[in-house]
Amino acid sequence: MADLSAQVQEPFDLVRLSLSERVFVKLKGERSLVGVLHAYDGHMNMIMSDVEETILMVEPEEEANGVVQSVKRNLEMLFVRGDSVILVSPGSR
Amino acid sequence: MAFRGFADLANGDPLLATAKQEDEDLAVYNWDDAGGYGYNAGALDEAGDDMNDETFGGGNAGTDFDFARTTGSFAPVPRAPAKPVQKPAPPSGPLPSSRTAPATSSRQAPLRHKNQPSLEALWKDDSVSSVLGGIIPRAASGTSLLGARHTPPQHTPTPPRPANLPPARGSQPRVMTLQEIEAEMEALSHGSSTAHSMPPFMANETHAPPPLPPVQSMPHMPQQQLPSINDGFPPQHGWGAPPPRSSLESMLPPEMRPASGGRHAFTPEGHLPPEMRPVGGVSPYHSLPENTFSLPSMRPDMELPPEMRPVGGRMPMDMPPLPSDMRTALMQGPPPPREPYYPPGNQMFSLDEIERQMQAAQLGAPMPPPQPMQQQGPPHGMPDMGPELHHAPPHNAPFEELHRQPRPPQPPRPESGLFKGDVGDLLDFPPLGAQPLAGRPLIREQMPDARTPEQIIELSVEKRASLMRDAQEKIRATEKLEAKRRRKAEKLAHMARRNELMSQGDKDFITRIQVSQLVTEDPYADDFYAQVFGAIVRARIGEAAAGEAVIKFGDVGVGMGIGRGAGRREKAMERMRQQVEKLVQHAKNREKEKSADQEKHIRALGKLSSRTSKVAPRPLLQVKDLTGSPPVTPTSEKGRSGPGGDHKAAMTQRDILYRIEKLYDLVLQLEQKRREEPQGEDKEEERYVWEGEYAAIVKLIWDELHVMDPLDISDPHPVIAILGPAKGKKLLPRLLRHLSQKESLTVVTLLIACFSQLDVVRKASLLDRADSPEKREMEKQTELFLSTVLPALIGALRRAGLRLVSGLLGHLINRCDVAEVARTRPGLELLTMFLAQAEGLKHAPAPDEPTDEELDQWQKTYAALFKELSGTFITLFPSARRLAHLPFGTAQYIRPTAADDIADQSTWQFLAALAISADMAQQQHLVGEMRDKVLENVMSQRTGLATTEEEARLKIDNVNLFLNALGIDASQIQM
Repeated sequence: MADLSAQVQEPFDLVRLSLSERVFVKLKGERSLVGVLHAYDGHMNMIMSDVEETILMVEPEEEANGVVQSVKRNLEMLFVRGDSVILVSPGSR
Repeated sequence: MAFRGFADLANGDPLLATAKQEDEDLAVYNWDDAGGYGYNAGALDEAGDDMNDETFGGGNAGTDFDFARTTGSFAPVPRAPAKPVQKPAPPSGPLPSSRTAPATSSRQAPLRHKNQPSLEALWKDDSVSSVLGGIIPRAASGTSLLGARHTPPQHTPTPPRPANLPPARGSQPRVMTLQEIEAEMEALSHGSSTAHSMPPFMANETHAPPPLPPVQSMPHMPQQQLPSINDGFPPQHGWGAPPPRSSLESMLPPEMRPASGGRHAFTPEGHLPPEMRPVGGVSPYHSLPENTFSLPSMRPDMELPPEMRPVGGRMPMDMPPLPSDMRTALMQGPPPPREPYYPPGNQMFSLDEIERQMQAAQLGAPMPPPQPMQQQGPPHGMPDMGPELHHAPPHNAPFEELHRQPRPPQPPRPESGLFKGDVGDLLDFPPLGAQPLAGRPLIREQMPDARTPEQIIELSVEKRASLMRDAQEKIRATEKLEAKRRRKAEKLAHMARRNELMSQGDKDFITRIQVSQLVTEDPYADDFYAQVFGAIVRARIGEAAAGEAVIKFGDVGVGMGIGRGAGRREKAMERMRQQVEKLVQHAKNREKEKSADQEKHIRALGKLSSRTSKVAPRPLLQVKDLTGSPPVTPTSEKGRSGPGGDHKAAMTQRDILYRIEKLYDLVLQLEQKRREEPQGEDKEEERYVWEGEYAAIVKLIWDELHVMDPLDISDPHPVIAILGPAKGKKLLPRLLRHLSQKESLTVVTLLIACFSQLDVVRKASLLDRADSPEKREMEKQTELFLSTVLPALIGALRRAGLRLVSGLLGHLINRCDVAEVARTRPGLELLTMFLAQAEGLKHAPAPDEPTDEELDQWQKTYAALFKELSGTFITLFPSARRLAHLPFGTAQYIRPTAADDIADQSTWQFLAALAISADMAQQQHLVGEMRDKVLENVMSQRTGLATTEEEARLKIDNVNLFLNALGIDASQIQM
């Protein structure tokens, strides 16, 4: 197995390991995605399927005393533009 | 007069024209903004008409219609003052476009009279210049002529009204007649007075003023100018039949034609002065040309007063310009001969100069044609005009006068009634400018038939009307065609503007840049998805794969993927290929140059990095290739334990993913190799090399797969671990294809021996539990396993003999908990396959007949299997397992569903397979254990517990599946 790590020469090689696996992606704007990664490029644009998007919404303090609310939605297929990606990590498995 | 017409165009029409243009698609192609000439749409006519009325005054419309004649009438008014001077005056004042209401005409006229230059300026600015653009200036001058010519001869302008003058000169006698006629007309019409005053000129002018029909003006010109009507007759024929272009062109002097560029329909009136043609082609006519020309042919339209034109829509627009031009031309006419030609007005402008020359030469010839034109015009136009004219006293009157002049003998008015309908048609016809073009062709065609003017005159009103109608129809048809053609030509011309902007070298350069983005080292792989998609699509269509999907470039080894669109042309492909070859050559040369260049600089400047033009982004992070020094993976070291280091810890998830990625790399390499397989007899050597490389990669895969690791090296075994992730499952079938029979059998054996280690077996119990994300994930994985790995296993099994089957099953029984495996869908399917395969092999025909030893071995294996499973048969049913997982006491409330029956189907199949191979004792045991289940199904079917037909059928089918294997049927069961 020693030779396996040799494959990893750049960060993207790690992302590659998660191809067609479930990944967690954190996006700008308090959004996060969990879905199967199908493709990515050098800009971290990604194609994901079976995605559950979670949007964190914080109500204004005056109204709801800073209540945090999360909105979820499911998407069959999703293109994620790379400039909004903050983090990609292997999904829990 | 002409000026007025232009002014009208410039003032009112231009706007209209522009509006029309905007509406029309063609508008784009109208180069000239203001140029009313370009307008094709009837909308313009309408708009223009309205404007005209406002500007010029509605009353005079009648005169406008008469154009030549009418114009004459109008002209008279404005010109009247000029008339005294006659020739000189007419040019300036008389021209007021017929369109322009009397008032307007009057205004214009005065202006013109006062200052011809100013008029000219107006013309230039508004109509001609705007329309014609560059040419316009001249046209303007022409109007132009007025401007240019006038300016110089401005005052002399009298001459400018060439039409008038020429006619006067050439056709003085006629003039006389015309004058007389005019006098009559004038009496009838308002402008009559003016007309009278200005006999020849008036006529000419008047005609001219009715901006529209250059032709008309032409005709008038001829009439006036050319005493010899006979000469004119030919043209008349043209007119009558609208023998448009051909006749006209023929008539026109060669010079004229060239100038007009064919556009000048006027040419048909070969008699028409060269100016006409050229002008038309160059200036306003360019835009309007063809149509306008048709109009001239239409003379009737021409004659029609401005009002009429409005109806025609296009007519007005075109008409005005033409008349103006005509007029101007006439006005400028100083070269009398030219004047006649001027009628085409627009063309006149550009052609003015030419015309002058031409006129000098043509005077004689051109003159006659014009006359005929006039004559023809009158008859045709007269009828048409007639109605309208009558309606509009002023305009009509002048027109009539005009008509009468030529026609005197003929009864214009009666005709008018007939023509009324025609008039409308005429109006519909494109503006004078437009008509000329379209009309000409028609006219030509018709012309042949056309009788001599005299004949025409003689024709009965009815005949004339019918003739007119025919002619109009023809004209319309030609106009349509012409419009189409012109539209096309305009488009072409539009595009042609940018012709020659780039040299072929420039184009090649651009192409190379573009192509360089597409060329890759591995055309197929870089275009992989498109290629595969294309292949699939082609396969679906059933189209034989024809041609290369990838262009490769000789020894360079690079190429690019190409779409295989049906439209692709070999030629284009060839060009592309050449470009790429050039490109590659360039790159090579530059590399050399650069390296040589760098050699020079290295010492002085240190090392220079040269960037290639490759599209690939510069790697953001450059990590040194570590392959040289084997990195130490903690897991690999830590995992070693047990005797002889034969046991390792299970691979971590990351290791598994690493390995899968590596295997994918290798598989992709292999698949690429496959595509590169040398074909052909003469490539033995290449093939040998290729096989070596191929085998090397397969060896790499084999090693990477770790199939030969001891079965107990880890749990799960590395190979099994790889089947964990979905992509691992998908990888296996692709991988097995490249392995030899023996190797793949080894893999299958390993899989079966370690079957219980598979995730889909290990976590199968999830499927029996309540819904959860894990269960959903498990379902997906199971489905994937059933569709990828299992078929590969079964495929390998199919090729196995009974001995091997027995051995594999024995392996499974020994190494795995068969009962547990059987409680999973994949396990159940696998076992069913084993049993079915063995059953088939047992009864195989002679050559493959199993030996007793093999049969004996199978029997033992089967007995072991049966023994392992006995006592748990019921739990093999998913529905039963599901119930077992429900909270105590709830099971009886939950009714089995059709989904359960479907899920149970594979279990029934397995039991059936089991029953077939079972001996009597085993069968009895089996039936004893299955009795309750069978009875339950049969009961539910018979007692109606099964609510639907479908459900009942499913249940009984399932039972029968099993019972039939035992040789009985559900119907035999007695409750």
